[in-house]
Amino acid sequence: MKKVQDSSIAGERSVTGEFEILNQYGIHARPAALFVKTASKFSCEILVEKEDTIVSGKSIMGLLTLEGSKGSTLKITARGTDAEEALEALRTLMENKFYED
Amino acid sequence: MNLKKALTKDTISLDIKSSSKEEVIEEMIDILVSAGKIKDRKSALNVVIEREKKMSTGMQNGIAIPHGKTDTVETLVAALGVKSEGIDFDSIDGKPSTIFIMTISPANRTGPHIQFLAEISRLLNDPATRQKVLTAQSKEEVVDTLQL
Repeated sequence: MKKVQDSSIAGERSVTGEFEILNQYGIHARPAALFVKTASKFSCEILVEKEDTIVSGKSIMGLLTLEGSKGSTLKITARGTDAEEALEALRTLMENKFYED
Repeated sequence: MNLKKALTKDTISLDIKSSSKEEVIEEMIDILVSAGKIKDRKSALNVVIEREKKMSTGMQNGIAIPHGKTDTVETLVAALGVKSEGIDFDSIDGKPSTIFIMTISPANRTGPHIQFLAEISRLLNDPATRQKVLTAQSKEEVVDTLQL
C-alpha cells in the first residue's frame, strides 16, 4: 500500500507516498478538516494528487474537490525541511481511518 | 448535477440576519422549511447541531458547510446563505465565515453528499467566485456565478 520515494533536489527534502483511503465514507468534511489540521502543523509544502488533480494538502475545499471515496488512492508529496515527519503524520491519520467508523 | 438540482433560487439567501453560529444554522434550516424542502424541522436541526458538536464545519476562506444526515428527507437538499460581515463559526483558520452552504441528506447514502461537496468546493475554491458570491446584488447573480 505504501510507496515512499525519497529525493533531494537542490538540498530540499521531498518525499512521496501513496495511500489508500480506508474509512467508509471517504474524504468528506471531517476527514478533510483533520487532514488539513495535521498538514498545517508542518512548514513543508504538501500536495495531494488523485487522478491528475493536484491540490494543496492544507486546503479543505481543495481536498474535497478530489471526491476521495473509500478504496481510492491519494498520492501525497511533501517538500521541505520537515517533509518526512509530515508524510508520516498523514500516513498515520489515513491508516487510522481518520479515527472514524 | 447534484448541485444544480439541490441549490435553487428559493434556497439562496443573500441577507442572513443571524449573528451567531446557532442562529445562522436555524435561519438556514428555516430557508429549507419555507422552500418546502424540509418537513421535519426539528430532526433536521438536531442532526446539524449534533454534527457541529463533533467538529466545526467552519472551513477556510470564509466558507462554512453545516450539514447533517436524516431519513426525514428523501433526497439531498441544500441552501446557500451569505453574510458579508461574517460570523464567528469556530472555523479551522480562525477567520469569520461569510458563505454558508447547508446540506441535509438521507442517512443511508453518503455518495450524493460527497459529490455535492466536491462540486461546490470546485466552484468556491476560486477566490474570484467567492468574491462574486459575496458581492452579489441578487439571487440571480449567484445562480449565474455558480452556473446553477
